[in-house]
Order: sequence, then structure tokens, then C-alpha cells
Amino acid sequence: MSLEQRQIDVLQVQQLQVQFKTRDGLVYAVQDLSFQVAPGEIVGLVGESGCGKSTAALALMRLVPKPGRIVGGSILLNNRDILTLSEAEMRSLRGHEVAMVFQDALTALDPRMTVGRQIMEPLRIHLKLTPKAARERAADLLAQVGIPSPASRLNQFPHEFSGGMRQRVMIALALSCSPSLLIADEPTTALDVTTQNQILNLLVKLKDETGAAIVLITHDVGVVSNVCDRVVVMYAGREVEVGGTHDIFTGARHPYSRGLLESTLMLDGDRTRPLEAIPGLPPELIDLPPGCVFYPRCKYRSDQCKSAAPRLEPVANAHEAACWNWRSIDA
Amino acid sequence: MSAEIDNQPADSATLWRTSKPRTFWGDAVYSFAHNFTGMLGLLIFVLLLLAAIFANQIAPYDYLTQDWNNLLKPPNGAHLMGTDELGRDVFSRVLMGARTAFLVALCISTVSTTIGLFAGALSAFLGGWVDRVVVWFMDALLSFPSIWLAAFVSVVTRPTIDSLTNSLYASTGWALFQDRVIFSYLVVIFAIGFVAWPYMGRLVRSQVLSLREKEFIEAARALGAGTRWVTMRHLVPNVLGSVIVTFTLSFGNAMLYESSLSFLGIGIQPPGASWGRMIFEALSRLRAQPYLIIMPGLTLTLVVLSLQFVGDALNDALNPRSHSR
Repeated sequence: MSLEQRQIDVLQVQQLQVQFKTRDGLVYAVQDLSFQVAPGEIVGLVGESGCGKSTAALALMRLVPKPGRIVGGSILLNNRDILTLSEAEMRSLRGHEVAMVFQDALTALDPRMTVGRQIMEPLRIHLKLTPKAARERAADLLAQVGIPSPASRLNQFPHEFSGGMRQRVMIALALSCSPSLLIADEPTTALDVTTQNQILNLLVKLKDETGAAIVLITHDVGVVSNVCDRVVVMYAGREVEVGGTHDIFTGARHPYSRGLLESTLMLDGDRTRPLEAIPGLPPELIDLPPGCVFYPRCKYRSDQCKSAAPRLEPVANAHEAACWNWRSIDA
Repeated sequence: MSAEIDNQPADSATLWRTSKPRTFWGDAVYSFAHNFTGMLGLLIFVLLLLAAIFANQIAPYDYLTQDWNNLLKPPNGAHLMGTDELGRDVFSRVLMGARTAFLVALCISTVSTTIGLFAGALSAFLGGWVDRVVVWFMDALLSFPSIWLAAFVSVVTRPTIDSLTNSLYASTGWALFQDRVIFSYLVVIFAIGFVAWPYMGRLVRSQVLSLREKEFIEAARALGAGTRWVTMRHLVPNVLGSVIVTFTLSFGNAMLYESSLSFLGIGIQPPGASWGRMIFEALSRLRAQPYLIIMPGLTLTLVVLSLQFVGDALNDALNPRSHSR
């Protein structure tokens, strides 16, 4: 990627490392994660639970919970390295330039505060709106995320909303100060399938309207293929493959990405193909294999994989994979 | 998308302005006001509280005056609750006992709630060795049978508080510090407050700890709220509900404890009036003059029960999920 192109990226993550100090030793929940997000782009962060994608999301907001620490790399948000900012400067970014949609809106909203008051909070913190102006803007936001009769809904508590409506509130809250980057951590996981689609469509629609970039964290391959422009596949805290959604879905070069796709039902694919599971379990992060982290479960493994960890290398235009044997895995 | 977008910002803004913004506390008051037992409890409590405050105006006789012509008279027109073995009017004594009970209970629950709030919050926020020491201390206190511990503290601290009030009297000359009744109040307040605070401390600590892990606290941070904002607008309102309920219940408990200590003879000392003391003194007359026990006992039961009703209704009112409009 040329220097000129990089400057317009909303987010550039370089060699991000998040470390957790545990009683048994140091654990790297995120190791050497690098990716870029351009304005208006939706990048999917995919992987099984425990692969470090949620930690990565929190790291992007510098909100990694306590024993965890960002120990390396850089996170450039609109060309500013947020890892060098003071906590006060960081606070003024959160909710303003970068905002987050949480998985379960029921637990992510204060049960004792009306939805209206909660949406007013970031407006009052960042935009310093008067209560009256903030209320009006809150009503507009609810309307924007497709909540009928927003004015009266503002006066209700989170538990009085249905799951899908609550998630819309979460999105309105995240979008309240028009952030340039939205991080959505499993935004549809807690919802039923029909609602999932509505929420995804809403995210895409709002992205088109506001021009915000989105980092979508999910374990759902179907969600990725629906909405994402590019995909980062994570395994055991490592980035194993990155590329355009189409490239990955039609020509994954990393055995793990392939396994992930083969274990998923594709409506437009060969419906007679048996679903294949990846044998084994993801490794404990405290006790990783010395070479490639996927080695114990890989069906393409060779001797080299056992001792040396592969690095990301280009396999096609804007498509990289971290596998020694990617050439033998036909696209 | 199935849900049609209702895009009417101008209208919605006016609608909002005309409808009054709803708040959690407003809803809680509404819910409490519509709770029958809660309001009944509150009514009984307030009536008894007023009776205690205006005891001097309501009492038909002086609570200490002995009428040797009317010993041990059962309830009648002149003496609504009868007279005791010294010819004192039981109704007047129950009223003065109410004064003692309310005053002492208010002091105890205020003191124990304050200490508990600070200890619990400090423990949860500071963590580390402060947390360990506070928790250890609270656990140690809670491991004793509380009435036994309160009795112990009351007996042990009596001489200390005695010399303290004496020296305060010597240095200030205020008659207040020479008053034996006030002195026994102080002993009781200290003893029961000492036993009661760990309950509040534990509650506050656990509430703060569990709330801090809640996702909505993290979500508030993710929206750019600082520590003070999160504490004042999300943490405190969420802890306050259970603190209010516990305060109400601890008020009733404090009354029971005061009566128990006085019943055992180590609480309020004569000539101070206490329901527990009255019951103790009348114990030998249980068969012949049961009203001497029933009158103070029934009043005590009534207050504690009314507070339970109030606490229960508050518990419902302060739970956001229990009310919907």
C-alpha cells in the first residue's frame, strides 16, 4: 500500500500486542495484529471465541481490562497514535471519534436510566449540548435507527424494549457524536436470526449515510460474507489471514480460514457438500505450540510448521496469509 | 428492512417537550405510592413517629409520676393502657418509650449506614490490603452472635463512655454530659452501631464490586465518561436502591436490638423509658397483668412490622424491572 493511501485510512493498527499477566505467566491475547480500515469500509474480525478478537476491540478503545496491557505496536486513529495519548485525551476520543456497539444491549445499558437520558450522555459530555438540545438530538437519533415514535420511546427504560430495538438504541448511542470509527463487538449474536439481518442492514445503511468506518467483530462467517468489505481471520491471538471478503470466501489460503468456511453452511454454495468440523480444540494461550499455532489441528501441516511460526506473506493482491504451505492449498 | 423508519424529528422534539421526562426515581415514587402494604406501613410508621415526637403533648400524665392510689390498674378510661406497679401511666410510658426507640434507632441506623457505606466503598475501590483488612474485620464481627456481641460491647464500653462524658462535663460544664439518660443512650447507640455496620459494609462492597464488572459501566467508559461521571451517574444510583432498603430494615432491627438490650438490663437505664425495660419489669406479672407486657410489646411489633412493609415496597419500587407504565 502506498504512503498516500495509508494517510486516508481511518484506522491503522500495526503490530498490536496485548499481554495479560496471569499467575501462570504472560499470555499474549493479541499478538502482532495489523490491519487498516478505510473510511466507509467494513472490516470483519473473525475467529472462534477466545481467539482475542474482543480483546483487540477493547484495545482499539484502550479499554483492555486490568491484568491486560497493550505492550506493543501502534493504533493510528485518523493518523494519531492513540497509544501515546493521555487518559484525558483518550476520554475525549471515546464516544466521539471512536465508539463501540456491545454484544448484549440489555447489560450494556444502565437499567435505572431512561434510554433518552443515556443517549443524552455522550452528547452532553462531548458536544456540550444543553439538556434540551441533547433531547431533541436523541429523538432524531432514535428515528434514524428506525425506532417508531422515538419521542415517547426516549422516556422508557431499557427493559421495556425488545432485543432488536435495544440493539438499535445501542447503535444510536454509539453514533450519537458521529464517530469516524465504529467498533461493533458481536452486535447480532444476542439476537434472533430475522432481527440479526435488520440490524446488519441498519449498520450498512448508517455507514453509507455517515461515512463511518466499521470494525465488525464476529464469529459468524455468514455475517461477514453479507456485510464486510475485508476480513481479518484471527486464531489464538494471531492474525492468520487477511484479504477482501470475496478473495477469502472463494480462495482462502490458510487452513484455518478454510476450515472455518467448510464448517459453515453456504446457501449459494454446494449444498450437497458435507459440513466439516475442524478437529481438536483451540490451544490454551498460555501454552502455545512452538511453531505455527494451528499446527496441532492442521491437515496440511509439514515439519517446518512444527518449529517455525509462519509470518503473513502476500498470496495475491491485497491478500495475505500466514502459512508455510499456502501454495499447496489451492484457491 | 421490515420496521419502517419513522422520520419526524421536528414532531418528535415537540412531543418530548410536552411529555414530562420520566426518571427512575419518579417511577419509584409512583410505584411505592401504588403499593398498598407499603403505604399502610408508612402510615403506621409516620403516626407512631408523630406520637413519639409529640409525646410530651399527647401523654396524659408525666411518665415518671407515681400514683399510689392507682397501682396495677387494668386499662380504663383514665389510664388507656392501665398503670404499673408504681402507679405510673403505661400509655405515657409507651409514648416516652417510643421517643427512646425512634431516637436511638435513628442514631444507630444513621451511624451504621454511614460507617458501612464508607467502609464498603473504600474496601471495593481501594482493593488490595485495605480490602482484605476491612473484609476480615467485618467477617470477624459478623461471626459473633450479634446480640451477644452488642451486650458485650455495651457492658465493656460503659466505663469508658462514662469517664469520657465525665471529662467532657469537667471541661465544658454542659449539663448534657452529666445526664444519665443520655449517657445510656450513647452506650446503646455505640454498642448496636458497632454490631450493625458490617451488614451495610458488606452489601455496599459487594454491590460496588459486581456493578463495576457490569457491561454498562464499561459501555459508559466507551462513550467517554470519566471516573467521576461513571461513579455519580451510574454507580451511585445503582447502589443507592439497595442501601435505602437496607437502611429501612436496619431501622427496625435497631429498635429490636435496643429493646433486647434494655430487656436484658444493659440498655437504657431507668429513669429512661424503654419498651424492652418495661417488658422486663413486668415479666413477673405476666399472668396477673398481661397488659403491662402486651402494650409495649404490641407497639414494638407494630413499628417493626410497618418498617418491613415499607422496606418490601421500597425493594419493589427501586427495582427498575418491577414497574412499567
